[in-house]
Amino acid sequence: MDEKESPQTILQFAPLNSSVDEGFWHSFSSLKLDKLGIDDSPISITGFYAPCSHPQVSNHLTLLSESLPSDDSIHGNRNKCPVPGILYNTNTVESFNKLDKQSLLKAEANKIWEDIQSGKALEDCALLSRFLVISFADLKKWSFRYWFAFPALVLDPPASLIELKPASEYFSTEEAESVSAACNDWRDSSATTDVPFFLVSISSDSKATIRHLKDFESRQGDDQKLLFGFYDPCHLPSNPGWPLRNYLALIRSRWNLESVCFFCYRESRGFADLNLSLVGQASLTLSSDGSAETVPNSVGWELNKGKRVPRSISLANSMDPTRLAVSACDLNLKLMRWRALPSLDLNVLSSVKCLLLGAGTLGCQVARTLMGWGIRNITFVDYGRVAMSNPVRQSLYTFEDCAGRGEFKAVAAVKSLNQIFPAVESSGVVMAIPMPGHPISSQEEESVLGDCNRLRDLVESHDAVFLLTDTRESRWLPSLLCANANKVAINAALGFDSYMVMRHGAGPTSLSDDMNKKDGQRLGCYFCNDVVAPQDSMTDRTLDQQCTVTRPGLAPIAGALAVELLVGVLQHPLGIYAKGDNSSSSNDDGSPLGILPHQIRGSISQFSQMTLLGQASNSCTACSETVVSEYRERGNSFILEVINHPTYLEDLTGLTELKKAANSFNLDWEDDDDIDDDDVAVDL
Amino acid sequence: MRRRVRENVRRLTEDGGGGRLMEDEAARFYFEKHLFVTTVSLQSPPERETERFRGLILLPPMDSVNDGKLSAEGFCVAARAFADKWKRHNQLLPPWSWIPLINRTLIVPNKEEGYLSLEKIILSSLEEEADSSEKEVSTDDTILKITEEECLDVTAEDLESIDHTILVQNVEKEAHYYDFNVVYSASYRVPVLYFRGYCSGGQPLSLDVIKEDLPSGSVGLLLESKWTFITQEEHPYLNRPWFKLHPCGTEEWIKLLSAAGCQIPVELYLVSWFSVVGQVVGLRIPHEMLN
Repeated sequence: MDEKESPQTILQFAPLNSSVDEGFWHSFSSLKLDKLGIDDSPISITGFYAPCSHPQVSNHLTLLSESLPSDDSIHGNRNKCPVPGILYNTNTVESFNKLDKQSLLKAEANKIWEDIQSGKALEDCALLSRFLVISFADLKKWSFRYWFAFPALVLDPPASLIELKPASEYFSTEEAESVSAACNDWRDSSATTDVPFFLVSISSDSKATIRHLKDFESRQGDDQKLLFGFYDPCHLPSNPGWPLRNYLALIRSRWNLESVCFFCYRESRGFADLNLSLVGQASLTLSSDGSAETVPNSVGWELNKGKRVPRSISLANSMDPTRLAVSACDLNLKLMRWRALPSLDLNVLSSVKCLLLGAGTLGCQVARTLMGWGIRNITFVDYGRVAMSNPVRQSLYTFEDCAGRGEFKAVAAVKSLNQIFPAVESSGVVMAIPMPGHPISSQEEESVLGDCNRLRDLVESHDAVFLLTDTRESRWLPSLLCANANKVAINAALGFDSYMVMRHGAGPTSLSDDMNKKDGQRLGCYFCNDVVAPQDSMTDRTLDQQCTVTRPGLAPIAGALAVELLVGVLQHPLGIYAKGDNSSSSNDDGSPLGILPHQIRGSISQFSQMTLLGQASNSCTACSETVVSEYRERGNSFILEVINHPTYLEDLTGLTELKKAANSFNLDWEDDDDIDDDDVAVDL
Repeated sequence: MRRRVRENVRRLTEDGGGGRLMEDEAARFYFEKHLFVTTVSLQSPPERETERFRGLILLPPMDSVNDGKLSAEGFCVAARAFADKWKRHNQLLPPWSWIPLINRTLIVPNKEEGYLSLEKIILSSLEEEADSSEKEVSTDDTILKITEEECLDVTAEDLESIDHTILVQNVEKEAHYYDFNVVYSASYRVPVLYFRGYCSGGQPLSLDVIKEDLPSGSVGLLLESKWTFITQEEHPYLNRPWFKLHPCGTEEWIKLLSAAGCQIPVELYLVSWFSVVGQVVGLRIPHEMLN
């Protein structure tokens, strides 16, 4: 500050900086979308500023959400002195760039000049700090480009600085005390707290008085010192802030003073801080002709990090609804982890890829529950279309999906998931699953084998497979493929009022793993308990048998259980190798979610549910080593043979032999012939 | 006193329900440490003093907090008392202001509603942020890129380059500002600390950047502790996403404070509460406030 004290130094002003609160852009976006539309006429706005209150940081001119015009009148307070401004928002980035910035600035500077001349600026001194913003709001990307100007009338020749020092050094102790007290009163009174320009007069007995600018004439004569005070947003000890520029222009033009003593008011913790505040002496060169007609030149476009470029801000994180939905959903799961399940591994869930075979009542429920658990990657396979009867039971579809022939379920389900949660990664494959016992002609062979390959690829590219189709035989190939690729398979099936949900064990080839040697046993698959190979269950059936007629509450229950079972597997330290628990099992092997059963069967007619355990069978038509090896050796020709020759699988696995020998394989499920997919087994 | 606190912590740690909350070793340590500080200074004031205090704010005597929860009316009382104490004892930071709300509940028209706000706090000292401004530049791809020509066509036409009265400043180190709000949560019946950070130009700070500004211990502690964590949620009054310290555990640990032998008068609820949560965000409260 010392070097500035030599006479004839040009008085330099620290530029004002802008700060735009997030809330302003939020409010502006809604104003633009809901009300303005493409209307791009200028908007009157209100900026706010306050005296500097930090020794190292300047205050800013801030736009807040209440800066936009509204029905409520603006209330200033000590930290928010309102300043009038104008906003030119363009509809395109091109028109933003094409704006004539010099003319816009000049227009605002003219208003300031007129207000000085008319005396309006004496009545309402905030008019001296009038500002201007140009902007372009990209509401699709939630990013905003903007540029502030704080128009300043240029004194020609410039004011020179005689001296500048901290107010505490300038004033005597008594004066300092009195000035502080007067300033604090000014700032504490609601009538004056947001009046940023004022006169400080100090009488010969060191008493300071603060007055409005309009009282300049009335006070003259009786004071020893007169200082032109203003709220200084700048923190620098070496320079006054920007508002002094137009203040000096006013002082020179209105009162023709050659020597001006100015007081840069700054504060700490809401009180005048005279160490931070400055008092300076400037000398002005008066214009010879006192020309009020010629408007001075003006400057004032804000620099961005020292460069003459607009600023930009991206608010996608707080405005993009998709991002907000993601963080809100994550939060829910985090809460669960934090509150009840500290060891829950959410990353496993968000990264697991699920393949849903079937997008009917079960598929819809499973997909919804998966999303509830934060599972983001869901693929549907289904060949059907949404029929008129579907939407009331199949929770992803609406009436609109039935229009015309009906949308493919695999397509409609994906669309629906995206509507529910836009961050989901979902895809749909319209495809029929090749089934044993449904012979095909040689012309169809190629396409059916193509489907087999697609299904194989899908199983291999996912981590977990849900078997949710409405027939028993359509589950055979997926069961085999999962056993072959050692993927988690979850199977859910519905009867009229009973359901079955199970997880398949690991594939037979994984037996060499240490994990399995220990137990020596794998869990069974859907076909392990059967003594017949899957075959055509659809021909020769009445309509109510063909369509899965079930009590409507079943699918939500079974779908939810299927997902909970998968989550249990994913959270279990042994994963697919986890042994099957039953209700009386103690939960020592550490799944945070409790026991992990192999099968759950329930009946709504009894409102009962039980867990069951079944080991893998060596004669299983889907997951036995015999079948999996045969598939690996012969690939598609093996599958073709299965499809076309109903007895082939039974011969291969020795079931034909077995059936002759005994019927001891029957489980205690004679009563449960409502489980449609078990009908064949039970009917034996 | 200290022993009693320890025992309480242990009790809570070992029993089934509440124990889960505190089972984490780090959280327990943190807690014991703070409980000690807080409870020692929170010994119930002498009776006459308490009554005088109540008389001052012209309210019927309020119950002490035993269940860790606070009523909406209690929050208003506690908020006033907290802001008042803060103003008297905290010389370094600006005062909290009470933001009243236009009543939106038709059922109880005269019920007071509002929240506490402390704005534009610079948390980290400016000297420390040597290169953080560098990082800010490379923020987001979605920001409109400003091309060279756009910069040029402005320079050509304007007068500012020849105006010597404009102080040419070095590009200032970017200060990080923080706003804090203490909002009453009607569903948890406890106060909640909301906060957000932003650069001087207004660009919000991401949680990752904020974490760098927090006191060194906070982040690790929050990760491991069971008593709270930072989440982003819509501010209940401003309707924009803010960060907050989740209130799930608040009731439990406030209960722990009162179980430690000192009933917390409603007026001191926010003070005790803030003596713990404030530290997470680097706002320590002066010791005198606890007396």
